[in-house]
Amino acid sequence: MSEHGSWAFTIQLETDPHVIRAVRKVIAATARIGGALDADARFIELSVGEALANARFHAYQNGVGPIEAVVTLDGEMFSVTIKNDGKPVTSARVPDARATTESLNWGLHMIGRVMDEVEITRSELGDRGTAIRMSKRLTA
Amino acid sequence: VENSPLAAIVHVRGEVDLITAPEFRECMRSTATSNTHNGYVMVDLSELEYIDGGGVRVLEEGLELCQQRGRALVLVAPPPHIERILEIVNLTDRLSVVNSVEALHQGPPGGEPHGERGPQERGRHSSDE
Repeated sequence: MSEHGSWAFTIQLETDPHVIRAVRKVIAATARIGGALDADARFIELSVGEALANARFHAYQNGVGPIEAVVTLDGEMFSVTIKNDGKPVTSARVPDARATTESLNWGLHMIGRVMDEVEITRSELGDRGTAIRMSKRLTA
Repeated sequence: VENSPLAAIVHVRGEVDLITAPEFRECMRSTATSNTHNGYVMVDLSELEYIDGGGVRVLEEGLELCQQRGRALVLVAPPPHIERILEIVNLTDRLSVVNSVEALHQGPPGGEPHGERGPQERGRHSSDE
């Protein structure tokens, strides 16, 4: 058990760029409170920003839509799950290599390189929505 | 943006994200295509705190514009966490990274534009944390 405990909270937001900036900073600060090294907190911030940008540009077609962000610390594992209700991803695979033209793949590639675990799931609620869970083990 | 006969220097401070990337893109485009300097476009990243995938794409577009005009794009002093991101997308393999703007006065980073890498070039970070 981490000295920082185990806990979870949920943020409801929309994919407005200013809100995205604020939320990625909040989650990075939360990671630091949970014991993240500065480098890890910066990678978590990047991953949250990329996941939210993907939701804005792809799920909501460059528009504003609702997001639920679930932040958890379970022992040393810090996780963020970003759920949208927009257009679902066509593939739930995290690309190993950077695609040259597809910004969705590019962002996912970056997330996959800086986080320890990444899981993408399509919503079970009809044909809308995608969730991406991103986890980082916080080690001093 | 600073202009000299040898280079244009773009100073990037703070954050490049969804909010600021359009302004950064416009600045890079106008600088890379400007006729007021020769040879080099240096992008000073020493005071950059955050860059997202969109911002990295702006740098890549700037690199392509420079290459089309026979110019070299040189990154200056990216903080380690920024340089790591640029490594992930293989951008640091495609351009020169130097420690300071003054490196240009010690000799051309990366050799002459389109040339071989020079001795003033900053060492690569090989960590894969």
